[in-house]
Amino acid sequence: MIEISSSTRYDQPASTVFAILTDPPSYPAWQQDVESASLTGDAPAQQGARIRQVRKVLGRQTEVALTISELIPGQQLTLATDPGIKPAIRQSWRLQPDDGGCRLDFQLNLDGVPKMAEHLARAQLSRTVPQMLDRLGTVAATR
Amino acid sequence: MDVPTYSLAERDRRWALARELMAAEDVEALICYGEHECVEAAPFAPDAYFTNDRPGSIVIFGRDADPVQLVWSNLPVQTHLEAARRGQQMWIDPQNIRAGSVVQPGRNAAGIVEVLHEHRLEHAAVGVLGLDVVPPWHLNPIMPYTLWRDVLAELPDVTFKPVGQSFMFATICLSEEELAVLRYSAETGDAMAQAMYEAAAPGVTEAEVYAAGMAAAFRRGCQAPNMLMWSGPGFVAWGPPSWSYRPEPPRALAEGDVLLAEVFNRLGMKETQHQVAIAVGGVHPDIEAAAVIARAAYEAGLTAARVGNTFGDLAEAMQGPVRDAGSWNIHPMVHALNPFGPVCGFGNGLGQIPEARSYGRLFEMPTVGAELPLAPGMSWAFEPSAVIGGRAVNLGGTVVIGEDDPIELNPLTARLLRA
Repeated sequence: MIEISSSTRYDQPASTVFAILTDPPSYPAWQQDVESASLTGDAPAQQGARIRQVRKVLGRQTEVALTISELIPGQQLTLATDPGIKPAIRQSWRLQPDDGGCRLDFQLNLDGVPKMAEHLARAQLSRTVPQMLDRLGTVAATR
Repeated sequence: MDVPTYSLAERDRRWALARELMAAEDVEALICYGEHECVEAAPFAPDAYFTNDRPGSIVIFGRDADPVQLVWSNLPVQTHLEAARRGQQMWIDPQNIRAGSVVQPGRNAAGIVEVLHEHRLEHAAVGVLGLDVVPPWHLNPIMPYTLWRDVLAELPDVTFKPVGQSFMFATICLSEEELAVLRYSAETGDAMAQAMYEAAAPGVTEAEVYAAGMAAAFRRGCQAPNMLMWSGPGFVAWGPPSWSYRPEPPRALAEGDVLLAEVFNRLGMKETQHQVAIAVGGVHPDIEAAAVIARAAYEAGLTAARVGNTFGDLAEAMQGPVRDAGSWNIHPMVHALNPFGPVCGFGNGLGQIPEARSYGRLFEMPTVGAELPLAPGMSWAFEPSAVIGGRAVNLGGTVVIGEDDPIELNPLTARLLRA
């Protein structure tokens, strides 16, 4: 199991950042490995809704389906793959107001990577996750 | 001569990796089949990885016991014995080295079966190195058919599991001791390239340039595998010089030639590669143009060779300038070293050459291992090539992935040299 955590502060309010987190078509603008993303059907972003992503997983174009397993407007978003899917992905985004802006605590849990490759995946994610949060800040600054 | 060596701490690190691999793969033993010694570039030698001794054996880890080394004759015993007499710290204890082949258990099926019986693993899961495809040379797995047939017949209830990918993941980030060995090899590769550059001139044969390069390696105590080399006013051939396999005189260089060589060097089973491109006097403008493209691909590779990217990102970055120029690469742009495995695709442009259409079938090799994340300590052969007007240039050297930036070990050969 790989766990990567990262925290960052943005000048924008939590509501602005949360709006981006719940806007899947915006994901390619700030998640480098996501090529496209959309909510399935016409469902709004709410608990139980599903997000279909085409992303590069370890260099390969892969379709990933994530479910919004937790959503508290402006505060918390959790996305997870269905049980039994490998690799299992869980992304947790927690927002708190911070002096006019907000603080974002992100945690990624990744299960199912070959054990002997975990150190390689961890090295990759420890670099790409902070980059992703930086890009999210850039997108937030334009809103 | 200040040549780096390996300590027992390095042995312990590697043996710990073997046990970690066994735990990860849920196997109770690990069989490491190594091909025979005196192999040239890219030997398949997981046995030597765990013995720091002559390649060409089979090493078996059984549960927590020290590994057993199966050798083909008394000759490896004799060299082990003499090395110990001279004070070398040998990694495998004498009682764990067993000689035999053909008529007694040793480096054969009977030797493997004997060790697994001793550990009472007749119904266990056992990992095997030797059953996987390993580019570039072992696109058919290396394990001999008859050896493996007999092992399977003798141990029908053992579940054998290829674990080559895990071995590659476990060993591809080199330790500090290994990086010291790699740097020495890389420095020697530069010495080889410099000697070849100084030898190249109109009237000098390919064989003389080749000899100058090899001599520079041997003088520094390295084991240089036979190099690839071609020369002429323009060509797309790639491989050993034809005089190395066909009875014919080696070609003499002429004004306007380019000499291209893929130089291999090895110290302690760690290999570096060096792409030597030497312009002999004024060369055709297409060669100059191809060199510019190859250099752009090299630089694109340096930009992509960072933690956070995958090998696929690296290969794609290096192919970009070549593709954008309407060119093609005659061999991989980049591939892993130590161990080998991930390799960039190549061969896509040969069909542009009219004579190629008369061949029965061509093959564009796809990129293999694109999903591998880049991580510090990995060593890569950067060998971008480009073809313009039927004239190829390749250049490059060995690059190590650093914590932040890539570490170029051979900037000398990352450009067109001018004799």
